[in-house]
Amino acid sequence: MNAVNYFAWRFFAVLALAGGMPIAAGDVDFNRDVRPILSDKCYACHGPDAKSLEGKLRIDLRDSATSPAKSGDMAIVPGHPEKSALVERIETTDTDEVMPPPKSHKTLTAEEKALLKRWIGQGAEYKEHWSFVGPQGTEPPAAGDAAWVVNGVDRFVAATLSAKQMTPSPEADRATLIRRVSLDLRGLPPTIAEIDAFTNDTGEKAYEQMVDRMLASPRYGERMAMIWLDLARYGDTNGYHNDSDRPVWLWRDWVVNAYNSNMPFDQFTAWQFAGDLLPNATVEQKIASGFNRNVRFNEEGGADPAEFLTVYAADRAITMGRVWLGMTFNCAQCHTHKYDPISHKEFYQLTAFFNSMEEVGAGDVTGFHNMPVPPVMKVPTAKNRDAIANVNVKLGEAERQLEKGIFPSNIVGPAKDGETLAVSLLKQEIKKLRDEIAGLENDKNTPLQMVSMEMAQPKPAFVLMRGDFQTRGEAVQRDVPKFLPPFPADQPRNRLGLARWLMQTNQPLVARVQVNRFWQMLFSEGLVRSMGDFGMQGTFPTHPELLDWLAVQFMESGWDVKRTLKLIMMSRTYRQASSDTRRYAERDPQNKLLWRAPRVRLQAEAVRDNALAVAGLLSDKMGGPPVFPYQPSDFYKGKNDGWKWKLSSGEDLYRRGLYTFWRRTTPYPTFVIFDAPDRAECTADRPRTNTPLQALVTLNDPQFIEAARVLAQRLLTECQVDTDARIALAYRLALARPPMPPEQQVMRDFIGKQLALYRADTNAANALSSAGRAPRPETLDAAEHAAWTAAANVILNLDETITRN
Amino acid sequence: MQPLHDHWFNINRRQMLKGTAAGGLGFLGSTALSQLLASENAAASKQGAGLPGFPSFASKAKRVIYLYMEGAPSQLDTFDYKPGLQEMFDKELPASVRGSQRLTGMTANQTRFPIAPSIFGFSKYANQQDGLWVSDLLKHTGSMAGEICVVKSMMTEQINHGPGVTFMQTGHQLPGRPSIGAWLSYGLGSTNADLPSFVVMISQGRGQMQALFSHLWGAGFLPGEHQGVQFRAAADPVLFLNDPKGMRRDDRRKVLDMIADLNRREAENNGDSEVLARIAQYEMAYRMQASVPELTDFKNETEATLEMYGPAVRKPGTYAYNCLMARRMAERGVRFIQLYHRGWDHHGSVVKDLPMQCQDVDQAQAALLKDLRQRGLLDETLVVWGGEFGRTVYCQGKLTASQYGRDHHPRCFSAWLAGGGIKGGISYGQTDDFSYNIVEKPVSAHDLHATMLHCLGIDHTRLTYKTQGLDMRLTGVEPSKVLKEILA
Repeated sequence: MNAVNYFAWRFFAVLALAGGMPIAAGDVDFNRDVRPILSDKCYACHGPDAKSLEGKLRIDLRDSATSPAKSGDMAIVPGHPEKSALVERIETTDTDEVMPPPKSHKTLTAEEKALLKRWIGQGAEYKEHWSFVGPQGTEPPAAGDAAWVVNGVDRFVAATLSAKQMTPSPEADRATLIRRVSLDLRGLPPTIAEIDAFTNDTGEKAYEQMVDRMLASPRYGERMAMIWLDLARYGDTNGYHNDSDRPVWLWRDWVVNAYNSNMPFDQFTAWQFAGDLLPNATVEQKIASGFNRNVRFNEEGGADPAEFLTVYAADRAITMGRVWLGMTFNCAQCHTHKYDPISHKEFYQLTAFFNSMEEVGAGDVTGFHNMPVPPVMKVPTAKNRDAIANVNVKLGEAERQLEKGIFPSNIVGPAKDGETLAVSLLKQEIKKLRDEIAGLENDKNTPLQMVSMEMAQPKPAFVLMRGDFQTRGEAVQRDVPKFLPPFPADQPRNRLGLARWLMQTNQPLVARVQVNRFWQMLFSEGLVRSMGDFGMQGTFPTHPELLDWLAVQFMESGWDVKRTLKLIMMSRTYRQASSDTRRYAERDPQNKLLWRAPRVRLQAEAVRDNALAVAGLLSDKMGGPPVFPYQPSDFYKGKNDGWKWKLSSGEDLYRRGLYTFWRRTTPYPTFVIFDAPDRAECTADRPRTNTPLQALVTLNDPQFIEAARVLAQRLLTECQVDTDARIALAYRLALARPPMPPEQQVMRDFIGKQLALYRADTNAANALSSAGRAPRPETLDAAEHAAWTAAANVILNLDETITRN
Repeated sequence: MQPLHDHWFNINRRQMLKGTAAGGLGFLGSTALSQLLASENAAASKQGAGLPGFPSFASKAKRVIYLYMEGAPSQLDTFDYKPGLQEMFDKELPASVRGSQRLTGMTANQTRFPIAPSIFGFSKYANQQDGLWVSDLLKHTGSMAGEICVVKSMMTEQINHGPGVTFMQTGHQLPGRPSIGAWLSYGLGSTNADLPSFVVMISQGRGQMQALFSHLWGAGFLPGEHQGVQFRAAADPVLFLNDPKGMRRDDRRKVLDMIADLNRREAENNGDSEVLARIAQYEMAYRMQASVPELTDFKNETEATLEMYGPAVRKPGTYAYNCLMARRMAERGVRFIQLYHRGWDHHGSVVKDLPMQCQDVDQAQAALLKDLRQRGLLDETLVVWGGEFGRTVYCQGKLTASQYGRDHHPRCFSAWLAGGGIKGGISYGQTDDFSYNIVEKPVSAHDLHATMLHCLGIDHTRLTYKTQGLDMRLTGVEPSKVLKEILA
């Protein structure tokens, strides 16, 4: 790394602090410009945490910052930077005096110092942190070219672009659009028929109807679940120690169905928090409450149950903070938050909502391996449920007969033990029917689901000093942090009341955090780029008014997820081309102003799903127990010999990645290599890296080789015309567009050479053309098939193939 | 987007513009193409580069070999010699010694805590001080007393394996933080563009084995390319390293050229540096396909070398094999080489299980030190040996004259360091007569980590990464110290 680039990076970092754009000499905005500096550089010692407060000075509070200290100095004298001790201390060269002190390893840049001075000069106005004040549904500005603007999204975006004399990119071509919408909403590429239908549709509503079709696809729920499962830390194993399997996939299927039926987000929330506490809770609602059980479970012998019960309760509070509030509650587990207004006590007040569930703490003495961790609910399959219903009808009839003394007249026999033969036979029949029901209910194949169950009486809760379960501080009652709306008086102080409190429309954070997540799903980055942190240390929104407007739209729609996604996707902003990344690369390299659509490498599961779909291998079977696709047979060797990978067969080898067995301590390697988290805890944002190991996966993983082989036979069997037509088909399957003439030419040359090579080497041809377990038409010529497999291997490895454009 | 990515964004774009100025990327001949690729790799590959300003001071060590003993070896039967205990066989451990120490669920309900002295003999080996007592189970290691520094006062707050190992490897008990190797890969980069900078190898022990988790070598919140790459004892030592059957090396080359050609056309169209970065990563993958088999091929090792490591060295996947692999990786500039040897969790029978474990490791690890030394690599390679906690002086289960087990003991345990930056031939810290409490110079995992980083020229308070609004570091927020007395 050379120095020039390093400094270039530092420069951009400064710009990033200012919401992405250099600050002109005009007004300084506290939230956008000043607080990020104060929070990062000062609050650790001059902020909310009383235990680490230095010199009794709090810079986060204007009253404190502008009051005279013992010495008589005032940190900030509004309007007078020259009289402000803060300015003196940040400018001095005396290492004993300078702020921030050298031992903090923090420094202020010249720009930051100038900004602070200008802010004090302008009166040192403080504002409440932007995200703690409810979204104001500001009307979209009258900005943007009338011909370009479709809806409010565009108006906000046009306003920021035109303020910088920048213009948006032109609309993407139809092929790119349908592939984008399909990958965004379904996580899968469009089919040839879908591409044709859309590109040939000249109607005014062609685009809208295409979006509607994608939203209505059952694949949509699977795609949305791919995001939610990271947040909800879903895994098929306990996540500690022996990491045994656990029955939770019914919850995963519930999530998919909830998205597909467009369950309103408030209901989606309440069921997961407290489905079990709803009046007359249904089976579905109880399954939904499995969300709380997604915490890991320590099955280790010797682990202390009391310790881990506190860990699980804290994990639930932290997850709620991250997923619904976009806040880092975990910091307050050991001490009052250094940056955000969450006290140590408030953390444990919140945690108290989650500490009284019926659950096992840990393995205790002997360990708790390979058995479901209670409480677990049996959920008979639909088939068994129907059968039980049928038997129940018969049983009811038999019982009615017995009660009313109605017996078939043809049964006559000696009475025994004071009963007529008819009575005795009827009783036998009733017993048989009851046994049948019990048998169906206890079918060993009946799926299980870990669910939530509340204790009759809440357990006492305490502040835990430094988070240590053995060091209790004061006792606390269930309550919510004071910087948020108060807990409603008419709600029960339990998980259900908490969920209802969260979904009140006066919550400042919840709707913003959710729409920000939708935005990230469609634009690769959120409007707030720190996905899991809307607090003081988070980034200021690139388009604050747009974020608020969307948040209000989302709430006013009745928390309608599909409608909100569609609103964003109908915008011209979304429909822009991504193909020119150079235009404003110098002025706005991170595309914060949205002058183009992003190019994004697909999420781990989608990399594989996409290859299988292009090859025509992907199964569309939904739901059910997790599956075990190809994984190196010795992958668990040396890690835990008790773990088994029962390789699936038939179509279960080719299910969507969503359904792959998720072993938390050692997840599916192909996904990990493409940045999937282990789901030990809530993940708000996956990184997106680019590594040689990823290349090895798409080049050599048997699944990808098989996909190439099957794609090749698809090209050879579905298209009989000629090489060019087959290349065109391959391009349209993988990229939704036809090849450009130079691409066509190099591919044709490549295939010709490969063909010669495999004609000369029959063994190699046979080996490559028979990779994997999927069937292969015997009629195919091995050399030709191998040559096209190599070509398909190229296609499936193109950057464009694994990128959403 | 993380700052590091921003950086690559810039550098890659500049690379690309340079390439464009040279005549248009898509139309370069293949020689020019490979030259361009070479320069792309040199600059764009993360392997070459660490952070600016690191190492921040002159350092002796350039790399680390961490010999991790998973399951927690008994300090009482290896390095923490307590001859006085022999007279206290089956006596109750005084309550004053035990104090308020937390017990695991396994022994918390025992009515007695009888002292179990080590059944194994100890011998004294000359070092730079007044000699080092080492268990006779580790004679080869003992013979290296002049090179190693034994820390007898390691301690931890963790009492269970999962959190314990995670703490030793990532500086935090909960999963999700980067491991030490990832931090070093991030801070210092690698000196070999053909191999990963952080490699992990696992060998099986013979006692009770705990599961090993991939988060132990994960990158946590650091960019994923810093995660450890596991080398397996398998036909493909790195996952998916081998080309499919029916595709020869030169065929693979043609496929890669084709991918690169088409990708380069795409980059030329859209100007996205990520595409060029991908081309570079494909090239590195190709080079790994050649460099890894060369690495794992022992044919040029002399008989004398192989014999030094012991017969197990010829069997892939053993600790001895992995030790020799570690030396070969050290020679090739791999930054962090992590070995795990499983099976040290001796609750039931130290007497039966410990000798087998020691036999697995003793000769090979001594050979590794000698081999590094004879090649002049020991001075620049920091070697660390240890587990996640210690074991109790009192017996778990029934104590007899010939049988005892030991439960987990976080209050003290032993580890040793050798090589780059370390003063060999000394002991550091001391425990009480029961090896129960530390009486002198306690060392936390964070102190060990700070010292390791120091040996590599890194101030542990400066190697930070911003995530969730915090500047995170390996050694956490509480103060920790570099063990100056053990530095060379």
